[in-house]
Amino acid sequence: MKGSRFLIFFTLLLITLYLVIPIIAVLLFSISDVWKPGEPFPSSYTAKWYLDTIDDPAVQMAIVRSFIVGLITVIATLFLVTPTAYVIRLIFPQLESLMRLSTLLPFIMPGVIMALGLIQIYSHPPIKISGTIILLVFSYVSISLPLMYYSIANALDAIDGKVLTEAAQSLGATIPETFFQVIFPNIIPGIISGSLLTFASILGEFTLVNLLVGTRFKTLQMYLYIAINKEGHLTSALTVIYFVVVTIASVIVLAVGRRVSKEQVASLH
Amino acid sequence: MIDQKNQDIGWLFRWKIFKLQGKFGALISILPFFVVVFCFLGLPAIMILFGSFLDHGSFSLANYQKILTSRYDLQAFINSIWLSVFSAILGAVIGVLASYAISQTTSWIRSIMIVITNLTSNFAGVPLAFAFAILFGMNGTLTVLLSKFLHFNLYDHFTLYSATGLALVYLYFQIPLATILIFPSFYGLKKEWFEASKNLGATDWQFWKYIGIPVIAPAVIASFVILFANAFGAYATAQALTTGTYNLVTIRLARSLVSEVNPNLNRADALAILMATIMFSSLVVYQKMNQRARRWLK
Repeated sequence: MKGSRFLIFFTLLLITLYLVIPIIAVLLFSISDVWKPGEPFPSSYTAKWYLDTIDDPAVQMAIVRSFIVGLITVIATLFLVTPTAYVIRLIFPQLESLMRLSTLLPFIMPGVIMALGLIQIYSHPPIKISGTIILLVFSYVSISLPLMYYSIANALDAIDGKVLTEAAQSLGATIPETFFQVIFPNIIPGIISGSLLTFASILGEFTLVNLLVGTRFKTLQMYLYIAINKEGHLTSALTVIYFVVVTIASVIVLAVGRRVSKEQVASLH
Repeated sequence: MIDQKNQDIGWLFRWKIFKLQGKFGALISILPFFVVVFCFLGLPAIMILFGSFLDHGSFSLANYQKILTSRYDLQAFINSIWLSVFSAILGAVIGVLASYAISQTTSWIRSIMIVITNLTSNFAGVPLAFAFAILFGMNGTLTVLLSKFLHFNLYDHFTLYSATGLALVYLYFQIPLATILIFPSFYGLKKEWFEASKNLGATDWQFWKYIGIPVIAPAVIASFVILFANAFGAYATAQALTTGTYNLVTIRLARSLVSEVNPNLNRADALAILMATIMFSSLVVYQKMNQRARRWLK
C-alpha cells in the first residue's frame, strides 16, 4: 500500500502550488509598487493600494452592504432553522423527508434558475419585490437553509439530543424549556460554525445579487466584478481583504469543529 | 397519603398538557421555515415548470422543441457538459492522488493539506477569475515570464477566455472539493486488510484490484458526480472571466434575464427545466454512490 516517499511528496507539492500560486499572485500584486513586465517578483513594495482601497467611500459602502446583508441572512436563517432542526430531529421525525426535499431544492436549482423563478413570481402584484434587497435577502436565506440545517442537525446528533430531551422531559420540562435551557446551550458550537459558513458563503455570492438587483446594490462581489478590468492593484488589495475575512471565518470553523469532535471522542471514553 | 396521590396526578396532568401544548407549539415554530421554503424555493420551481410548457399563454411543448432544434442552445449544453465532465474527471483524478498522498504522510503534513484544501475551497467566482487573469491573462505574470525565459508564447496555443482556459480555472475549485470528498474513503481502507492480503500471498496489484479500488470507487464516482453538478451550475466564474461571451447554459439563462428588452422567459424556463433535470439526475446518482461509500466508513 506504501508508495514512494518522493512521489507522494511531489504530488502534494504540485497540488499545493496549483492552489496557492493564484493567491500569492494576487497578494504580490496588491503590495507591489514597481513590477516590471517579465520580472518574477516586484522590485519594490508598498501599502498604498490597501490605504487607497480602504479610503475609497465606494469600497467602504460595498463592504458595509455585504456585511449587513450577510448578517441579516445569518440571523434570519438561525431563527428559521434552529427550532426547525430541533423539532424535526427530535419531535416530528416523520417530517424528515419533507426537510430533505427542502434542503435539496437549492442544489437542484442553482442561482441562475432560482433567479429566473423569483423574477417571474415577484415582478408583479400581489407581491412586487423584484429588484429589491428584500427579495435578495430572502433568496440568500433560502440558499443558506441547507448549510445551517446540517450544521445544527449534526450538532444535535453529536450531543445526543434525544437522550437530553427525554431526560429533561421526564424531569417535567416543557418543550420550550428543554429547547432553551438544555439543548440550545449545548449546540452553540454548531450554531457558530453554521453561522460563519453561511456568512462566508454570502460574502462570496455573486450570481443572485447580479441577476436580482445588479449594479443598484453593489456588494463586495459586485464591486469586484465591475473593478476587475479597471485598476488591478486596487482590485487585488480588495480581493486579499475579502480572502482574509473568509479565511478567518474558516479557521474558526475548523477550530470549533476540531473541539467538537475532540469532545465527542472524550465523551465516548 | 391522599395529598401525595393528588400531587402525583397533578404532576402527570400538568406534564401531559404541557407536552401537548408544547407539541402544538413545536408545529407552529417550524411553520415559518416551510413558508420561506415554499415561497422562495418551491414556488419558483413550480412557476418554472409551468412556464416551460406555456407558449403565448397556451399549453405546448414548443419551448422544448425550439431548444432542441436551436443550434445555439444545443451548443450551450454541449459546452457546459464538456467543461463539467472534463473538469470533474481531472478534478476527481487529482483528488484521488491527493487523498492517497495525504493518507500516506505524517500527521502534520496531513493537517496542513486539510487547512489548504479548506481555505482554497473558498476561493471561487469573481476573485478566482481575477487571480487567473493576473497569472494567465494576455499580459499575465506567468504569460510574460514564459515568453521571456522560455521563449514560449502561451497565447499561440491558448487563451484564458476559451474552453481550455475555463477548464483550467474550474479545476481550481474542483480539486479542493474532490479532495475533501474523497479523502475520508482512504480512511475506510484499513491497514489490516492490506496486511491480511499480503499474508494470503496477494501482490500489491491484486490488493488494489480486489479490495482497494472496489472500496474507494463509490466515493470517487460520488465525488465525480458532485463535481460535475458543481461545474454545470457554476455561473460567477465563467461570467467574470469571459464577461458572458462563452456560451454556457448558465450564461444563456442569465442573459435571457438581463439583456433582452422583452424577454421570452418561457423558453428560459424550458432551458432551466432541462438543466435542473441534469442536476437532479446527478443528485440521484450521488446518493446511490454515497450510500455504498459509507458502508466502509463505520
